[in-house]
Amino acid sequence: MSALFQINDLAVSFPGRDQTVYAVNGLSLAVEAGEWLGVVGESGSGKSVSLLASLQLLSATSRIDRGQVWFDGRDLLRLKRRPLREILGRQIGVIFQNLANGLDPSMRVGQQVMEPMLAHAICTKPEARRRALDLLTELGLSDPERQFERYPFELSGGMRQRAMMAVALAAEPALLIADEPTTALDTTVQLQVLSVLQEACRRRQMTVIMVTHDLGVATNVCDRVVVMYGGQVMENAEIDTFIQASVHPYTQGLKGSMIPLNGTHAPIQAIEGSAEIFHQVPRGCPFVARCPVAFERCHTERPRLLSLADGHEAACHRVEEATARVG
Amino acid sequence: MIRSRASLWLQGWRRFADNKVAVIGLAWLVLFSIVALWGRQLAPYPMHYANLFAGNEGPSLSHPFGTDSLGQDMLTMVMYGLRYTLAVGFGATVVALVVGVLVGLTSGLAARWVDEILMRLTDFMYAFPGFLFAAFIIGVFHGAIGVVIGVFGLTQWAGFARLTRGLVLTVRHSELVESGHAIGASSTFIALRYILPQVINSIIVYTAFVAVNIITLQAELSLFYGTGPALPLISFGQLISQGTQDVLGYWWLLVMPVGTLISLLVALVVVGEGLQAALNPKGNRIL
Amino acid sequence: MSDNALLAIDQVTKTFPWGKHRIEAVRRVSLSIGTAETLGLVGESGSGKSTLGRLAIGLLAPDRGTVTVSGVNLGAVAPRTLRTMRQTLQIVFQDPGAALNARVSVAANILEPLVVHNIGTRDERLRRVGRLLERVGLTTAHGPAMPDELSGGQLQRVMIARALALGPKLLVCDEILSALDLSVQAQVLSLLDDLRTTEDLAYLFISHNLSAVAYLSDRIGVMYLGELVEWAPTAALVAAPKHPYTQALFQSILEVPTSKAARKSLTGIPGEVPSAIDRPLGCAFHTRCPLAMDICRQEAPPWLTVGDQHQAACHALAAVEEG
Ligand SMILES: Nc1ncnc2c1ncn2[C@@H]1O[C@H](COP(=O)(O)OP(=O)(O)OP(=O)(O)O)[C@@H](O)[C@H]1O
Ligand SMILES: Nc1ncnc2c1ncn2[C@@H]1O[C@H](COP(=O)(O)OP(=O)(O)OP(=O)(O)O)[C@@H](O)[C@H]1O
Ligand code: SF4
Ligand SMILES: [Mg+2]
Ligand SMILES: [Mg+2]
Repeated sequence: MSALFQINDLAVSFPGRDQTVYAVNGLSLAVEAGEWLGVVGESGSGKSVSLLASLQLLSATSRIDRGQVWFDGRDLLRLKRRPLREILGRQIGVIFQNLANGLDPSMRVGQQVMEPMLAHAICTKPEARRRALDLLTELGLSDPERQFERYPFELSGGMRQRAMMAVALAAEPALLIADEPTTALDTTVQLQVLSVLQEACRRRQMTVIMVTHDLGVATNVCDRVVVMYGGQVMENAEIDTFIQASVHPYTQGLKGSMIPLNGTHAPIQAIEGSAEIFHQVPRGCPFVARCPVAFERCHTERPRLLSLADGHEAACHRVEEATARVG
Repeated sequence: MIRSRASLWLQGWRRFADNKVAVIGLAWLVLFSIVALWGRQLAPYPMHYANLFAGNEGPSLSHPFGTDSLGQDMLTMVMYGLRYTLAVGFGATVVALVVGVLVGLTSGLAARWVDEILMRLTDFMYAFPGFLFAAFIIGVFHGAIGVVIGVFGLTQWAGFARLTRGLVLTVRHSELVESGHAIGASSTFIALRYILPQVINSIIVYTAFVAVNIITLQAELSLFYGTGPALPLISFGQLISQGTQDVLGYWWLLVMPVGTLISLLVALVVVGEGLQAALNPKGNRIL
Repeated sequence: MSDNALLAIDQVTKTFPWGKHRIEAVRRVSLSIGTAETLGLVGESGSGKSTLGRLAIGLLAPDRGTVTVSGVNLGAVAPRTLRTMRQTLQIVFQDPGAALNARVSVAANILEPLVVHNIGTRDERLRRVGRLLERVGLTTAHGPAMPDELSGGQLQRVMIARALALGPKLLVCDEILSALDLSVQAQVLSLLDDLRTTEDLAYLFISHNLSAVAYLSDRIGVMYLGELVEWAPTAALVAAPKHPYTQALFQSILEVPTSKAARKSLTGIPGEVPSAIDRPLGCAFHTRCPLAMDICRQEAPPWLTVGDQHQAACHALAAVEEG
């Protein structure tokens, strides 16, 4: 099966005067057409940086050390600005994590939603207006016609997030890259918005890569989940496997730190330690300092992504030894 | 423990200094500015000192840029051209900056209807055929330097206005400003510490690009319409258009002024890009 | 409404201009928060939670109604006095990266409130900053760092330290968890929990994360289209939400299913999203409510007591009570 979008061995760093931050260290992932891929992992694990870098949207302080990003038979990292712009907004829609960055504060909301359709000459202005209104209505925004005339700062956080989503969806892209697209939404609106995305996936084979912290969201909508840590893939599993048979110690920790909803005041199980910033490319497993089951090999040797079953991979020495013993 | 803006400017400068190309560009600009300011004293010959016996000479030690058909020293002419060009470029950019920033600030801060009117005006100016208008006015006034500065300044401010308004709107409704109000800071404190610095950096960067634009326009104008300053001032456009007539036999007449002009523009662009990276490193505003 | 309340919001309405119309972002809301109490605020996106939070600390002024802090009506004091009162009222926002001054170090950010209010000598201030950093789980080593050198969770701690610098009594937390990952969320939550006892701090905790709200709050208020529709002690609300909107809110929580086949079907609340300008007559939720009756389309529902300190505004509940 050939992938629609594929990141190969991507490495991104932020060179500083004193020290360099190695944010992404050899990340590879692929999505097939019509698939919904979830990317989870804690703050600083390189989710945003890797996706932004793959679209050449990172700021000038970053450096792409190596890697390729294949989309539609082309390596996006080698594309010049102009052909890339043709692709962005039209074939690839992007929803940014940072609410402040996604919308132009000096431009009316409606104009921004119509922009991708007009810029890529997809339809006429009245048609674009109609489509934009439909989209905003579908996303559950009240008074869509009147919202058209407002500036972003007049919208509430969740309204802004939905406006941004409308911009990303306007040109009916083949691939949607969504970085935490529902963090500012209440549970009911979140459901509605996710159902719109799901509809688009079903109806016209839209592919989604969605970054999220919320395992509830990931497990309810994604076909497959990639777990990241230290700018690398730790585990990659079909959703059923992810829910029932995930093996990586970091994935286990992540699942354990969910806050239960019971109104009681039980202490929360967070993963020990806090997210690290890597000033050197990690030599062994990036998770080693916080892993409860680490042993010597984890410090010195980088675990390779081992295929455990069809559609299930994990990068962990413990797992590798356990499978070696069984098999 | 308290690192602050002073050291941030320093950091910005360091980032700029790390960029070798930008530093070379800056050095080039400084050199040109010196030449422009003290051109009269530095020029090897008086302006329009013609030596008919040494007409159309190629570059040599006594005439590094060669001479034209009248035997005038090209280096001297180029230095005078630089003087005029930089005066216009600098002056007009300042005019555009002042007008544009004022309009943008008002638009971003004032009531909605004021904003509407000013933005209509700005959009109009943006689409305005400024080049033709400038050609006309400058033609009428024979390229008097004050008029040229005024006309270019007044046709090029729209970009500054848009940029400033956008920045003000962004910052004004930002959580940063709100958090300033929340700690009980006065409006002056907020304006000086939060709004101004955010706005300034981007404007500095943009200035370099407007200067490039104005200098190019001005050169084109005198090249295509022959509207340049009256003697003894001379513009690059005039030099170049004279050079094109003689280009076959005497390449230096064209290459020297064109080369100087292009190196000036490249230096400005390079410095602009350097400033962009140094002052606005997170400027990942997209598309 | 008790007189000794730290914050008392009484029948507050706030409108914003919207073209030729005005929109009621907050409509006749009353609530109170006692010392060291935590009130959770949840509700539909755009229902006026952030606006209410800003009203509570005087960042916005109400059109009608009063906001009283420790017995002082914020609307009746001079702007200068209000600025001084800000010492007791602080807010932390969703995006710490946007709310901190990126041009100065972490320590200078925390110092700013002290400078603004001219508190202490330079040395005293620096010592205080050191203590605050430690208080929020950072170290003095983080002081010289620039904001963009820290992670999201660390930045949110800095934001909290900055808000704590003036020794506030009420902290409004507007979606402060949503930019953080699970384990950092947990850390920040337990930090807030901790501060509540050590600093006698009260919170107005606004969040879409119902688990987190339930974890931290003593009481929870639910908003829909600018109005409060239900409020109750946490345990009661989580166990048995009464208002149809609150029920929808809780039913829409996405929990990890046992398998792909057991997933929740994704449907929002059906029906038309009401306009905030032409508010529906009667109960604002009637356009989407599964229980809506004729009376709901005509008359505003009354507040009913449906349990111990548990109140909801809904005609269907009244019908149950009568029937
Ligand atoms: N502009 C920058 N300069 C220096 N380091 C940076 C920059 N942007 C990101 N980083 C670093 O890169 C790493 C990865 O960051 P990234 O934003 O991708 O994390 P993330 O997984 O998206 O986290 P979150 O869940 O908080 O969004 C972090 O260690 C971060 O500190
Ligand atoms: N500065 C403003 N100008 C105009 N309208 C505003 C302004 N601030 C808020 N509003 C409007 O007031 C209403 C309530 O907004 P608010 O931000 O309080 O909602 P919220 O409950 O915090 O929503 P969310 O959960 O999405 O953050 C919205 O309809 C919004 O458009
Ligand atoms: S009052 Fe009527 S419409 Fe409103 S929530 Fe209750 S039953 Fe539904
Ligand atoms: Mg991110
Ligand atoms: Mg809000």
